Amino acid sequence: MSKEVLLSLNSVSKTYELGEVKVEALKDTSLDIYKGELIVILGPSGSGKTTLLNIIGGMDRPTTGRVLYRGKDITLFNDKELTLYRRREVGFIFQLYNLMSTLTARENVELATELVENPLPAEQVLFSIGLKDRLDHFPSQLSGGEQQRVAIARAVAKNPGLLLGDEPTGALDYETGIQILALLRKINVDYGATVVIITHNVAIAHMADRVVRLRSGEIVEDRVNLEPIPAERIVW
Amino acid sequence: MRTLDRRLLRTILGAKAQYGAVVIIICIGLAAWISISSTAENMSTALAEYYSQHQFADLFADFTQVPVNTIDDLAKYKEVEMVEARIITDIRADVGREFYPTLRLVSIRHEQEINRLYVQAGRIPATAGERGIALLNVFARENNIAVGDKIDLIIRGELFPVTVTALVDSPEYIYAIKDIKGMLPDNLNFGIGFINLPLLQELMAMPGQANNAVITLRPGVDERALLEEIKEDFKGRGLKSMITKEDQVSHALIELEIQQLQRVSKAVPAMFLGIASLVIYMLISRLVRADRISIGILKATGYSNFELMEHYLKLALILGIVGAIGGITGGYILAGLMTQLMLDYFHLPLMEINLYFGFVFVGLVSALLFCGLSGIWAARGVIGIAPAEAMRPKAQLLGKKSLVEKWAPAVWTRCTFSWKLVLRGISRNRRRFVLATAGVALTYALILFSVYMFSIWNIVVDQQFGRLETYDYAISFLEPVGSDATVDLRRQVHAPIIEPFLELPFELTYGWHRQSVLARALPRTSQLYCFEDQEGNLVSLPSRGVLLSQGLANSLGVKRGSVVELSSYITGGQSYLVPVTAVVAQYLGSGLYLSLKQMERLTGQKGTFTGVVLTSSDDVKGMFQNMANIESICSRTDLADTFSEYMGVIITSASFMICLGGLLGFSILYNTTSVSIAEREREFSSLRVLGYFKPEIFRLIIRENAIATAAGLIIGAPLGKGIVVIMMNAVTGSTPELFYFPATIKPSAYFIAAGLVIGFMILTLLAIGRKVNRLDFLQALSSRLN
Repeated sequence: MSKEVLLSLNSVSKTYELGEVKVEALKDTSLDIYKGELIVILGPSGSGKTTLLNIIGGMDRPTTGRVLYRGKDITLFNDKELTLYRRREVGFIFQLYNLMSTLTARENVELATELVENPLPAEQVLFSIGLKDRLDHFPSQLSGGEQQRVAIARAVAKNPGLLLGDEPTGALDYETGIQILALLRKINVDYGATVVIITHNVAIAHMADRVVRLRSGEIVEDRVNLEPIPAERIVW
Repeated sequence: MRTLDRRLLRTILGAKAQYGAVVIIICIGLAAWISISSTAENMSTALAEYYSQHQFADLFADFTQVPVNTIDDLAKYKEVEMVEARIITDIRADVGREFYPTLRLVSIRHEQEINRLYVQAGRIPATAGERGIALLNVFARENNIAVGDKIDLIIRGELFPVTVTALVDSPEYIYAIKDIKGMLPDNLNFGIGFINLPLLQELMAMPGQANNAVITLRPGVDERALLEEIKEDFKGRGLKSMITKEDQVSHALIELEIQQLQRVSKAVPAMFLGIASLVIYMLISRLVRADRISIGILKATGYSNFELMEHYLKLALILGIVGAIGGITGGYILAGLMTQLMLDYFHLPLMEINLYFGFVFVGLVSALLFCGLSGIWAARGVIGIAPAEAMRPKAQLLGKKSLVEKWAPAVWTRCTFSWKLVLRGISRNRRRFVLATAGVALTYALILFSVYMFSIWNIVVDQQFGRLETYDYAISFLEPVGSDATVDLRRQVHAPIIEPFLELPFELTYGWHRQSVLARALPRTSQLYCFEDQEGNLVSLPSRGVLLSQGLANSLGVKRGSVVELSSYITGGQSYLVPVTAVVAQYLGSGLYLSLKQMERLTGQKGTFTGVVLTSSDDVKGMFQNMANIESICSRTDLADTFSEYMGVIITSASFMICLGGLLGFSILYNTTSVSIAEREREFSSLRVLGYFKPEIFRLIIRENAIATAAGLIIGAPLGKGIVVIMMNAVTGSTPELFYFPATIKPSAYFIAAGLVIGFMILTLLAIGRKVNRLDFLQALSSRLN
């Protein structure tokens, strides 16, 4: 695996003001994400992992610190530049799929591919993740696992540099969860995508190239997993 | 098509009824704009063309019987371009019907220049020796008279046969009414006949004489100033009255109609487009709120604020465009129908049905502007949605005390739980409640106005012919008669009451206002005229002083107690100052009433009358129609019949207005309630989990709407009254001396209108009821689809 840094967080902190109360979601956090790795960020509820993911994905801005993507500080980006960053470089996968109910599986993917110059063909991506027979189904006609596959296809089809998954298996049963994780690894391998998964499910860490553990807004562990196992062997 | 656009289309199709209702409002607004504006423009253009081609006169003068030379002197004014001396006289004619209609004979010249006739069929009678007449087309049609038919003119009791050589239209009688009291044309019983001047002079025994003049002026002349100058110069030379084109009855009424159309053409679309944009604002802001997570996802995927705002703006514009297409098409069809309807009342031979692209353009731009602005205003909510924020569950709405809770805690504690839910719901969504209330208020105001229009004609006719004038017949004489005429009449007909009257033209001056009026002198103890002031108090004819009708008083700025100046050709131009002892209610035409004694003091005329009014159950028209010296016999039943015929048009247009109002209310309530249901799906689902039945949940919605309706009715009542006052001022403001409509709304009208509004609300709730029934409450609780 090459050690080219794709994204680098330098002393990033994030404070939310809720009325008179200040909540420090992230505290002086530094982290490098390497190109082509599959990284799992672990942490319990309220540990700051979603905040971290949102900052990486250009959906939120840190209170202090710098975030460098391919050497460019995205914290200095204006709204338009941040939008372009998300458009070209980032693919999101959410716990609750968040598909457009009035669009078919294919159209949900096309919604993303229309935004970029060199997308992967929507149908090809949907075929590759096993939704060949579900192209023209609306989300309400799909199972949870199938919906999450569509969400993954939507993220992947843009051919982004970074694929970010926020508890991608959180709403799925065990078998389906495993299938989704295997799919993420497949995408990581087949398309060379850098995948960042945040989860509270410790078992998922076994498939990661690297594991980062967060607690109360701080990184308490950052280790390389020397022997990642295939998703199919994970048990929880 | 872009995927986002496909989503938009599906969003629209998913809420067809809601968006359809908005489209209908836009359609109505634009259809009203295009049809009414086009009709007004068609009329206005045709009128201008007609007047120009047929040399419509600028001034009209009534003279006593004077030598033609006297009238020709008018040509000496340098401002005057042409003068034509004429004879105008009302006679009766035997046209082969049981009753003789009144025919106004108007002299024409062989080389007619001013007010040239438009020949529909036949030819203008030749000068030399031909006893021919050209009849107003509409009168001939009503009486089944064709070119070549013979009719008998009844003059001084003798029959003079004449041949109908032509059926014509005249720019002077586009709207042919005998006098303004008739208000509506009665083409069966009143018509115009055009006869060459020499023949008419011979028939009327007026050799070398005339009694009327029409004048055209050179361009740029101040006609009012010239009119005053002529009046001054012709004092004592037989000039009875003189008016400008603006005061000529046919012209004034057609102009009034055009002005009314122009006013309505602006007000109605503005109101409908305004409402449509409010509803669009509400729908799109609701959509943006509901799409919060989708917007977050789209932003996370890389869509910019501009692209997303454009997405929602497109929705508004699609509604605007679809509405505009429907409105323009409907407007074009309606313009044809309306123009045709106008042609039935106003006989404008050059009128064509044209669609003006200027109106289409303005309509389209207005629709896009109204919809676009409301769309932008609503879609700006997109900017405030941060992608990271949108992923999190939405913060709970702040629990606030409702107004009832704050201001009337005692009432609040007595409210049942479901009522509390209703009040809290209203308190939490005040803006939507205000829109629903405003919708009901506007609907109520519109319907109230329509019901008022429905009833006003009855009020006007009842006041004029049931209270002010209570006679059965009014007989006008060609030549004034002495008091023995009433004795003769009494011998021939069973008439419990016969009262003579003397009607003479006067010039009425107050300050800088001046007006030509027909003053009617009556016996002081008249039983057939019953005057009431504005408060409904009975007013008797004063021994000294005069009574003025409300419209006339308004146009002159006269009040009770004012002293006005009266002069007439009969007084030799001498002016008299006379006090106005009361201003009386009279809605049709204008009136100056005085006692016979007061008239005698002003004119020196004693014991002569120009007509009588009487009550009788006999067939007076039939009995007297062969009598010499009778100009016309009017029966109250004839007038009432004419108005009854017109009531059909009133009923149709008022019903149309009521339907429009109802549609407006339906559209607003349907949308506000649909949005309310959609936004409270989870709340209702929780209630279902608690054990509420669907009808109980529906009852909450009914109660919310009932409160909005009650508030709307309270606000709508003064709003409706305001619309009535403004519209009536607009209608009668420019010509109060012609007619005056009281802006009085009967209490029953308020109740009828409220009943209709409640009816429309029930229909809306029935439509909404299906929505509540179809709601999948469990799905609503678990759904995370966007």
